[in-house]
Amino acid sequence: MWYLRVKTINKKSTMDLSSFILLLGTIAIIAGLLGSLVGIGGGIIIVPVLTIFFHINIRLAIGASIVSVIATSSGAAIAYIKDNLTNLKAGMFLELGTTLGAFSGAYLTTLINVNVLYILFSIILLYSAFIMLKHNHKKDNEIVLKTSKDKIANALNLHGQYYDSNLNKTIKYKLTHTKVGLGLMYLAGLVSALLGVGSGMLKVPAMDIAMRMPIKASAATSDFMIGVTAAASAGAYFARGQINPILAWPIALGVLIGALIGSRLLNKFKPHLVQLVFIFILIAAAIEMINKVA
Amino acid sequence: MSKKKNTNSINQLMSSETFIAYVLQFGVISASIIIILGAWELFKNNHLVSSNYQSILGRSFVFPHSLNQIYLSVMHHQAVGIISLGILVLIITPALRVLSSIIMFIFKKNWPMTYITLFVFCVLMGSFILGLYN
Repeated sequence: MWYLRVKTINKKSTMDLSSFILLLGTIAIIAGLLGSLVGIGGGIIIVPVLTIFFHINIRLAIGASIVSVIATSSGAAIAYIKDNLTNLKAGMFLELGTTLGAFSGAYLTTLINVNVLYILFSIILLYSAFIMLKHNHKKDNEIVLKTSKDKIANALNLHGQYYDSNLNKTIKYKLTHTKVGLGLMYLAGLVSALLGVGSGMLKVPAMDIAMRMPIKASAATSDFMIGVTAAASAGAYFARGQINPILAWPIALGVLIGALIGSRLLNKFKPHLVQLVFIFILIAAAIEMINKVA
Repeated sequence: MSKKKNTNSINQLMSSETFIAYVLQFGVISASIIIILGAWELFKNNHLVSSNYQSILGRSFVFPHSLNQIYLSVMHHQAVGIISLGILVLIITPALRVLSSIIMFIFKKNWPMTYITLFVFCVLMGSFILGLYN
């Protein structure tokens, strides 16, 4: 693995705590920045980096990552709510699924062998790379549902609208397949609790493809939901002593700062290039995670 | 006359989605301030900060993981306690957000969504409590 040659030197070297914190913070800022440019939370990069380069216990890595996920989600949600992109009712409804999933996952994680976590992580990383590849080729004009036969969506009026600043018009949309969406959200919550990620990679396609929510609204709503999902498992991690505060704080603040900067730069970067870099990182991380299986 | 105006604007605030945004802002900023205070306390301790970074990752490194432990640690001005408190505030922020959503739906008199959000809140509380008693 040629790209690791530089880093393996650090494997045996020691460093003092303040340098470690500084390094963590820098990595976290970059992770948050890149992540917000492609629409992922930092978690999916943070855990592999901590376990692969620093050889930190994966459960501690997950604990730290989950805190950073809450930080970014809450930070991003503020902007999205004010922009009226977030579909609050649909989001809260779908949180029925994510919180139950996270609840199950937080309990399950104590029963699961660490090696299984590594394998699961690899799968999720590869899946995320695949989803991003698909998105790279996605056409810009999406067809929005004007009518819906979905009983739940109609009964609760989960349909929404938002003002698209790119297209300069208000887009009204209707949702469908709410039960499928709910099931997928349960899965997303489960994965989030097990791996310490935001599961945006599962939530956004679930809303976008299954429920036919426009991509911008899906991304905003997903960001909004991620925080609650992560909180549902964070409480358990915290009580089990799996959130090391000294480890978690530079990561949480770093990813938050990176995401805040990234969301301002969103328009200035060519998304395709960033996505390609990210896909490479995801695949490399997936390979390394498999290597960690004993 | 002004009293009526006040309740009207409170009504408007509570039933608008920006109320939730403000709650989130409050949570994130409060948590960040507490964490930064804790970090400042951490860097004051030169002995810990110049030691090998592995010292905080080992099994012997003690940090609080219950409300009582956090309280005691903060009272003793310990960096780990203050930072843990900040992290706890961060973890609670989404729960506060769900709570404010419940309030918003009540003000909008949207009872189905009120019940749904209430259920989500209960699952959240359940996972917090279960975590504490595991």
